[in-house]
Formats: sequence, structure tokens, C-alpha cells
Amino acid sequence: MSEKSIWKPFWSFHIQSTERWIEEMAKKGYTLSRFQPKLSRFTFTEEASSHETFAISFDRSRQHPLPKALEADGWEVVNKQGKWAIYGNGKQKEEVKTSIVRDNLESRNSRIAILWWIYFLYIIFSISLQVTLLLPLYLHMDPDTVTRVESPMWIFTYIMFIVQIVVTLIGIYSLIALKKESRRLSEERNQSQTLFHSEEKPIVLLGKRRKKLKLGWNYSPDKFEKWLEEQERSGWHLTQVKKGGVLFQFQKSDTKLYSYCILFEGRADSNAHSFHSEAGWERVYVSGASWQQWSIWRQAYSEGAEKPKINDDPETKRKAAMRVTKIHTLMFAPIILIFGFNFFSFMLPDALEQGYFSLSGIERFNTTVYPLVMFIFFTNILRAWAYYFRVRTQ
Amino acid sequence: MTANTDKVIKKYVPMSETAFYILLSLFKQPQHGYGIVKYVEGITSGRLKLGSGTIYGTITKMLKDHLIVVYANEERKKTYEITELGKVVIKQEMTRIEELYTNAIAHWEGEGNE
Repeated sequence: MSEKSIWKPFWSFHIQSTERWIEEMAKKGYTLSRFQPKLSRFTFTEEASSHETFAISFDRSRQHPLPKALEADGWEVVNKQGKWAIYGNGKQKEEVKTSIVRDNLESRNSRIAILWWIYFLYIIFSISLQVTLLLPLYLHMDPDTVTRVESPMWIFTYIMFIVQIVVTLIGIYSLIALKKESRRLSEERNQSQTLFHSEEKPIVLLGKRRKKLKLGWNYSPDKFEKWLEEQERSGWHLTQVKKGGVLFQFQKSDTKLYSYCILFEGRADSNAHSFHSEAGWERVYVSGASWQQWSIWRQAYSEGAEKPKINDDPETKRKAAMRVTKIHTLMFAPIILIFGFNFFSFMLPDALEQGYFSLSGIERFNTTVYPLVMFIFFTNILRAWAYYFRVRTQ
Repeated sequence: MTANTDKVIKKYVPMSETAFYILLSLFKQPQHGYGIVKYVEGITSGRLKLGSGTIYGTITKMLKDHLIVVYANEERKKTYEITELGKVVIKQEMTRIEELYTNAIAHWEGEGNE
């Protein structure tokens, strides 16, 4: 019996084609006998495979459960290796009705992508820091000579440089591959799930229209929900949200009761969105980014009926509000600290010592703008906390 | 009963009405998300209309604790199925509710005889 060991780097970034490849191998008479996910190694033995269809599952809890419905459909867990497992089915692909759900895999992939983004932000930050430090040196009228001291230690510099380049290349490749993979996985998932994209619906523009500019609604979403509901009650129907969620277009129409809900998710969760959509909610707006995603939902209801809410129990509501408050605090607090440090330890003493009007233009600008920005950011944090306490005491 | 089962029971019993009805709707057959909403609305004669965010949050939590599992059905719709652990947990909760019920009825009838 001959064995064949194959190294397949980045196999987990192309899960569907990896599955198909294992199926091809099975067809050729090779059975997967050993699976080393961390080493990207697949070992096959030359014997007839008892499975024709394969699925690879990722489960952080390492449990790899087999739902009864999958078992009844012929699935079994063939090979379990830590967080990864291979599920096999003796039937042909066309005859297999059920499939595994890849939510865990998708969130794992997006976590990896975020780690790479952090890496690249760090690289950009350190390069720009070096440029700002070294550029004056290059631009200097009479260039300082830099002496290179011979040392065997230079080899480490070169090695580190090569390592850094290789890591960066892997990072670029990973990000591109993950982007494509997430599209493939969401295509696979969306074969049945329907999400009403009201932003893509053709808009019939009849009657009176008006536009309203609304900034900063995400610091007190509850107030904005009320405002939108009032617009509907006074006969202004929201038709479109433009310019990244600040321009709201209304159209004069019959008064209708609508319940509006604003959702915030740390990581875009299209499963949750199709869930709400299935439950009768219409998504009128969703922010573009795949993390820190805001969305606005609405549902019509009749007079006398209970007003529907996406989050209707106190605990879920409180948790959702805390997410909003936390993200604003985490986003603005560090900036306020850095600005505050600069302002109170350099700018303010300077301004007091030399007098505001004897400062240079740029210094005067900074001394004015810094406290203003700090104040605005601080009010944003306060508004977010006020929102949280309003939800909590409800 | 393993240590993990005990831990999960401690976490879920007593459980919220939402959690109870979600598990109950999966007790006899697997359901997809909106199926749960409709089922619960049906058996409570329309009294309990669960918000989709609330259900989604509860389901996510139960998946993490392995009370339920998920798979995609023929139409590739996500379908939830109760696990053995989930059954143990809801049976515990049912026993607790049964006690509540018998005690409630006993006192109710007692009042009627006065």
C-alpha cells in the first residue's frame, strides 16, 4: 500500500477547493489517512475511499458535533485534529442534502485578516516614523556622512530584513486570499438566504421630497430611532440614506407607523442580518465596513399592536447599548489623552508664557483647535454614556 | 453527569422565558430561525413575539455552550437542533416548572375550599 504525502500551504484559505481536491483524490482511489492541519500536510493511502463527499469544519471548542440530521444524511466525522475536522459522506455530492455551517470558519478568517491589518498599520506607522526622523538628514544642505562600520553582526540585519519582507509578502497574499475566500463563502451561504436590499430598490420619486442632514446619530441611537419614527408619523417616509449615512431623504406619503431599530456590530454579522430580514425587518441602511458596522432597520406595524423591536429583552438591549458606548469610549479616549498631554504640557504653557498673539500662525491654530477637538470628542463619549444609562433605566 | 453538564445546568436553570421557549421549540424537531419565532408565537397563542435580535443572541449563546447545534438543510437554510446536553438542561427546567405548577395549583385549590 503506497502512501502519498502532500503539502498544501494556505489550504484553509481555499476551503472549498481543498474539499474538492480531497474528493478528487478519493475518486482516484486515495483515502485520506492522516491530516495535519497546522503543517498543511495531507497524507493519502492508496485504497478505495468509503467517502465521496467531504467537508472541512473549524470549531474553536474542538468538539466537532455531528447533528442527528447530518448523521441521518450519511455524514460522519472522518478525522478530528484539534480545531479542524474532516467530515465525510459516502454519498455523491448531488445526493447529499445537508451541509455543515461555516460560521466558525468565517469568524476565524476575519480574525486572521484583522491581525494582518494590525501588522500593516504597525509597519506603516514605523516607516512613517523613520521617514520623519531621517528625511531631515537627507534634505540637509551639507549631508552628514554616515559611516558603515564593518561587523559580522550585519548578517542579522540582513536576515531580519529578508524575514520582514517574507512576512509582509505572506501578509499581502493572506489578505487578498481571505478577501476572495470571504466572498466565496458568503456566496455559498447566500444561495438560500435573502436579504432585502432596500438601498438597491428602484426608488419611485413622486410627490414632495426633502432631505435632512444628520450627523453623529450613532452617539445616541435611541433618540435617532425616535426621530425617524416621528418623521414617519408626520407623513415623511424615509426613502434613501446617502453619503455614508448622514443624508436622509424623505418623501411625503401616507402616515404609517414604523418601528426603527439601529444596530451596531463589532464585526459584520450577515447571519444576524438575514435572520432579522427573515423576521420581517427591512434594512434601510448599512455602513460599508466589515467591522464596526452600523445598520438601520424598520418594520411597519398597525395601530394598537405592540411595537416590534429587534432587541426586546432588557439584557440584550443593555448589552447592545454597552457595545456602542464601549466602542466610542475606546476610540476617543486615547485621542483625548494624547491631545490633552500635548496641550497641557506644551501648548498651554507656551501660550501663557509668550502670550497667545505672539505665537506663530500654526501654533496659534493648534492652541485653538486642540481644546476644541478634545471638547467635541469628550462630548461624544458623554453622549454615548448617557445613551447607555437611558437604555439601562428604561 | 459530568462536571461540564453540571456547570451548564447551573448557568441555564432557572432560565429566561425566551431561552425556555427557544429550547422547547427545538425539543421535538429541528427548526430554522424564523421557524422558532412562529412556533413560539403559535404555542403561546400570539402572546410571546420574540424579537429577532433577542433570539439570535440566545441562539448564539446556546451554540457556544453546546445546548444546540447548527447545520444547513436542503435549502441551505441554517437549522438548529437540540443536543443531548440541551435535552438534559430543558428537562431539568421542566422539572423545576412542574414543581412550581403543582405548588401553585395546590395553593389555588386550597383557597377555593375556604
